[in-house]
Amino acid sequence: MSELLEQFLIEGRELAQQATEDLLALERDPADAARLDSAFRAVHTLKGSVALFDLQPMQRALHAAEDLLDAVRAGRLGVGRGVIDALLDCIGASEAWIEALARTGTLPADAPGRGRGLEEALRAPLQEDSGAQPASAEPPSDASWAIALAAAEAPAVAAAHAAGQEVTALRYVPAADCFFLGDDPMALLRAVPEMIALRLGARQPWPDGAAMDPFACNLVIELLSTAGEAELRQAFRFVADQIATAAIAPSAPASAPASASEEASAPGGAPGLGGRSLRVDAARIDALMDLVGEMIVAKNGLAHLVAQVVAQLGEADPRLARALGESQAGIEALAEQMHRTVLGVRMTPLARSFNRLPRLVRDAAAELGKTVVLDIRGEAVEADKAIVDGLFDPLLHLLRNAVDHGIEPPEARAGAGKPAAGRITLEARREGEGILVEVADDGRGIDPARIRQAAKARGLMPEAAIDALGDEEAVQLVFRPGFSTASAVTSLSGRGVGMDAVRAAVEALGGRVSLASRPGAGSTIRLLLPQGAAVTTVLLVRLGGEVFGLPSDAVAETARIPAGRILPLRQGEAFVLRDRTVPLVRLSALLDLPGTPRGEMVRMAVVGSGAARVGVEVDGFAGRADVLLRPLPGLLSGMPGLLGTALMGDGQVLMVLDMPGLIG
Amino acid sequence: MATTVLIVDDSKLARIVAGKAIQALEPGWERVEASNADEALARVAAGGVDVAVLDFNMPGKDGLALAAELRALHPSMPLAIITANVQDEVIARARAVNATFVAKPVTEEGLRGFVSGATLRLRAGVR
Amino acid sequence: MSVRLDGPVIRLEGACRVEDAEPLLSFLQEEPGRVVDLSAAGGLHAAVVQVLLALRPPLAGPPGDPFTERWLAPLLAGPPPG
Repeated sequence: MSELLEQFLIEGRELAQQATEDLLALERDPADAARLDSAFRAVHTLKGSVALFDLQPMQRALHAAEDLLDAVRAGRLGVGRGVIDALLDCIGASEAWIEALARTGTLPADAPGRGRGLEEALRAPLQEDSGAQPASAEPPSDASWAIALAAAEAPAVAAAHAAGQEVTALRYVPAADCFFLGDDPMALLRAVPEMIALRLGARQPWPDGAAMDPFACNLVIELLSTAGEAELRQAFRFVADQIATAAIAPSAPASAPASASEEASAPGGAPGLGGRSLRVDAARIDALMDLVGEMIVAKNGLAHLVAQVVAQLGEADPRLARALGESQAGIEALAEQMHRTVLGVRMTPLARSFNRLPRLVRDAAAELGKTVVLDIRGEAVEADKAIVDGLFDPLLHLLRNAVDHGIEPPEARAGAGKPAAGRITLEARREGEGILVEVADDGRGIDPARIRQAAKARGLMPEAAIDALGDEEAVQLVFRPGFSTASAVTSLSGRGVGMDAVRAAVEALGGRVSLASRPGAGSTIRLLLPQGAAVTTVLLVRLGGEVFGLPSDAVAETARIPAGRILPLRQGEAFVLRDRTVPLVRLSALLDLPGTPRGEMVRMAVVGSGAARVGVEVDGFAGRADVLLRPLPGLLSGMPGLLGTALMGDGQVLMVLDMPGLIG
Repeated sequence: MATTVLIVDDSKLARIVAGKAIQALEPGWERVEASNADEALARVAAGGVDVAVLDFNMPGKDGLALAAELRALHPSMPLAIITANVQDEVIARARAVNATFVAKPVTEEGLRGFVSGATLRLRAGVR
Repeated sequence: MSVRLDGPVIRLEGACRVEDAEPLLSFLQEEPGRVVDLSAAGGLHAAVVQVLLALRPPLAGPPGDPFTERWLAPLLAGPPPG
């Protein structure tokens, strides 16, 4: 089929070029109907051509682009900046994909993700477009045929309703000359989704044998289906003028169908209830999420095996190797889609976590004789349930910190010209693909000098290094483990549980935390979080008989050096990596586990960056894996230095380590 | 004289695809092509075209407008409209000129019904 | 040829298209008692189904095609409704 592909490449490039010109012209002059029309046709034709090959991401993106242009053509949507941008992005991606096809014969690996992003951007303006579906111009029909049909097929109807399905009736009367047009009503019937009953009748009484014209269609077709009216009509869209549908609503004894324009009521639902929703026990969703997590792990294992098989089989049986690879790619895509879908189910408003905070803040303030106003915004922003739940502890700690150390006593505030009541703002909003949660107070702020002093007193870093830090960097020292007083642990009072626990908790959710402060004016802590539970890539390392995970992000590189090149350095050890001396610690020591004797080669993961790099010695490496990290409940359970756990394919629990927390 | 089918589409790629599908169904049919409505009308006026397959979405006169013109000249010529999106008014217009819809992308299976019906109609002797 | 006469039995074989309705009708009109065998038939075009519905010939055993067997056979059995 390379003739087709060659032609596609030529035409595709031209169509993309045409569409780009049209869109740019349209941006300059939104009233230019000719350009709009031309852009639509170019996108439509390109979409049609793409459909000849198996290029799903491209096809779906172009389909969305076509729908968007169609909405503009129909006057349902204006040609705004957002619309043009989304369309140009889509065309740009199409051009890149065409070139990739020309070079390699396939789309690049990031095509599905990129396609999804384009689709979302293209469909977003359409969501606000109400009434997108033109109602079919069908003369209101008397539904007595549907009543008779439902009565004649009562057992099938009852069975479907008992199973919680909606039942739709459809009557199809093909035109008498439809065979000459090439229509085959039987073929349409074979494609009807979820049919549960079928009846065939005659429009005119059947003539006796001699007079019959086999090519004049005399059929009247009536059927019942549980597929839903929209899907059913879709199957008959080419003969939409020859069909009528009616919903068969469930009710006690005589089944009375609603008229063709009403929605079928939800089985067992109260009349007038619109959409369908279900109450689901949260534990079931968690179980589903666990399964998805396991599936992701399993699909990783599969990918690894397939790669091995393809490598070995590739020459002997390339077709099988390719088929295997394609099948595995299909499973990957499905697994990803499943992950996203289940995550979608778990999306919860942040209000769930925010709701309990005002009272706790009021209590804490009262205890300390302060007045505090807590302003919460954006509690309707949604995120994955794990993230929403996981934020409660860190937020509570931050708020208590603000009340305790941030907001000054009333006299001090008066003296500084501030209102007597301290103001704390907890705000959430979407930021790009993630969520931003900010805790800001108008208190005394953080004094860099005091932080430096405390850091020196706790010996966190060499004094000279501390002095060398700028004020803003010095303030970030509060996130270092060991900054807070060691007596930590049980209560969530303002003392004891340090900012490093907040950092670890937020990072375990896949997020980042940062702090900005102006002495005398207040502090703002920003938490940047992903919307959904993140899949984390971890480097697997062996220690003794166990395997641990180190987040890939935390590991700069791995290295193997001969044992002889380890040098003593003060109380510890070091080695030279590309002309710099890097300290070396043993993971066994960090975790307080027995170490194994060193062999000839020393294996290590280098964490940190620049001058703060440290080599962490391990017994060996066991590859990489994508895992769903489960943060630890509460800030303080488990070993210090543990970011979370993940379930491995073999059912074992993997401990994922918090490197900054361990190394300090 | 062999049955001659005219394939009208502004995309050469689409014409190739339709041509292959028709060839698979009716190897004996002769295929001629046009890339827009004007070319199509000229070719039909030159004579000998028995069946026409028209892309809906073309610049200038679209497939349905062309079908209407062809229908006026040839009341019984089997006409197919190739399209991906079908809206109700489009269906109504097609029905009004007695044209068949064939979904894009064009395949053998998708064309089979139209080709059968066209054969039937041509056999009935009316051109 | 999808429709052929095999002694007293009309056999429909493979997918039956619109044009097959004509020979089927002829065979049935010639001898009204003939039996129709669908065991080797695939999909039936509506024109073919129409002929069977109108004339209700006896069927020789169950149809081979699943859709035909499930949905059409019950409608083709027995005398036409009054």
